[in-house]
Amino acid sequence: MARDREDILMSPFEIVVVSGKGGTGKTTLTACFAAMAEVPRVMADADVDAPNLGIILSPRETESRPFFGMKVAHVDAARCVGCGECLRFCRFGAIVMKDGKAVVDPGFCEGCGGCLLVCPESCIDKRAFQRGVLRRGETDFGPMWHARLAPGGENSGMLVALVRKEARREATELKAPLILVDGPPGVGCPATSSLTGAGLAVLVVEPSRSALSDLRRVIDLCRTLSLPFGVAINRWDISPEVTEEIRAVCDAEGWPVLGAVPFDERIARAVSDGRIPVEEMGRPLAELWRAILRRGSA
Amino acid sequence: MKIAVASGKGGAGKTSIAASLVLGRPGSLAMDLDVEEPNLGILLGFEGGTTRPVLQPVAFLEPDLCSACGRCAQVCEFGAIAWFGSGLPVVNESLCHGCGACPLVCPTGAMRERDREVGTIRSGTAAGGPFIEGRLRVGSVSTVRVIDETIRAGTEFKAHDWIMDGPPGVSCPAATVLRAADAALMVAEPTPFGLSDLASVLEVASDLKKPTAIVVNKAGLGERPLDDLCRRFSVKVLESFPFTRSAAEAGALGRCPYGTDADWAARTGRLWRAIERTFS
Repeated sequence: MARDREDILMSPFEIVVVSGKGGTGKTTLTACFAAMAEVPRVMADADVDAPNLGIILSPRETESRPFFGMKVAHVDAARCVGCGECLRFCRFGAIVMKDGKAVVDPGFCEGCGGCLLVCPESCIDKRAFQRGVLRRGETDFGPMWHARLAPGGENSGMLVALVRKEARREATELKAPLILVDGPPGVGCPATSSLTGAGLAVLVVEPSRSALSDLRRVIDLCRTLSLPFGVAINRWDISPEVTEEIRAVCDAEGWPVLGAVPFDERIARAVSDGRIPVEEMGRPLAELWRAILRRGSA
Repeated sequence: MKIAVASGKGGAGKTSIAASLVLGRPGSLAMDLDVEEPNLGILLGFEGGTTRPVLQPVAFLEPDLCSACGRCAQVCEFGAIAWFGSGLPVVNESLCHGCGACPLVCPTGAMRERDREVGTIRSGTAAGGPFIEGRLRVGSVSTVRVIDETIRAGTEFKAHDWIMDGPPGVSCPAATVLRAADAALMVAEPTPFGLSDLASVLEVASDLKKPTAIVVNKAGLGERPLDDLCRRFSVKVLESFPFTRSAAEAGALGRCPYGTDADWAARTGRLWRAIERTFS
């Protein structure tokens, strides 16, 4: 028993900030949490499509390495006879005919290798392409792992998993009890990859019907993954009416509301100037963070 | 003309701008391709219509025919088929990409495919015009499949103009929408986050050689100049929509500012004229 207890204490607790809908304030809130936490922590930006946490936390880069996704098909144009067998087999629309030769769009190829099997000329092989960059940096609050997917690329879920894995490895090494992850929008492959196996999901919602609809979907995803979650309402006073509606829905559904932060043009200005708006968000933010910690330790 | 509305960053205002363009030109097809979080229907007041499933093949094993050779497991690149050197292989449906490689190599015809629902397409009439929406089933990761099927279904409407409300990001879902469009309209939020993501999505459109232009939204909320990006990608800003509390409040209630804000509607009219000058 004592041993188990120790393992639990050693394992860093990972909080992932997601939202379903984009633009609700995930990154700004994650940066505030990074600034407010009082224990050693490691930060990660798991929005590898549109990484923004680094813009506000300004990490001093210590490491950068290329990311190679799955190998994808490549046609040897010199030997291709243009029969089109590969194109007919491909389920992902990744092969097109150009000047009588098959050409693979690596942005759409999922690397299944089916085309290699059907090609009568055996002129297709698989190659690894650089699909992005993985980075580590030092912020004022601790190390940060982030990445950028090559625009138009595939395999964002793989890169998300890699960013989180590195953050966890380093947190474990440093005996840092906390990992703070800025997550991607949506409920698809990147969002699923950012939430799988985390400790707590903080779901940021703004008072709009759209954001509420998206919140419902991201909660469905958390439930699918058996992941504890809590709701944070951002810019609640943009529409007190819809905020009330969201609170009522949360109460009726049994979704815990962790706090609500108001809108203030000074917050937008601070972020625009590259400052973390902890002061501007004031007491509601401090209360939200305390509620997150309480929910995390529950 | 098929116009994709994109932005890189989420929450920049793609859906508000897309809904405004639809309302500003009755008869254009409203197409929601942000299938992970579709919201265009909320802003256009879509209700009813018809729903059809989006299916994707997944592998399944007919155990009586299986000779336990293990070739299916060897060929699967996604780790969706487990085989332990003897006995029957086991398919994990949630990892299967439906690529069709395992039935191809199965010597006995035991590895087959069946359809699995990965999303739905809703279509009908919204705000007096044609409307179609793709919606990914939560728990599925077949975002691109649902987008592709929704685009295909959209051709049934035979509409002259398409407004395609795209997903955030710059990876395969966003690229799929841009690839299917004739032109791309990028919604720029003039904040440090917004411009960083805008640069990435401009790069995708430029790689795809799509005619591209910018519309600024929430002007005044940040003051970052766009001149450098416009020069770098040779794109123009067609129109600018200011950040106003009234637009934000309309959006909160699920209404498009086009209907509640005369200035917003006038800017939409100018945006349409600028789109025609730029893309035709």
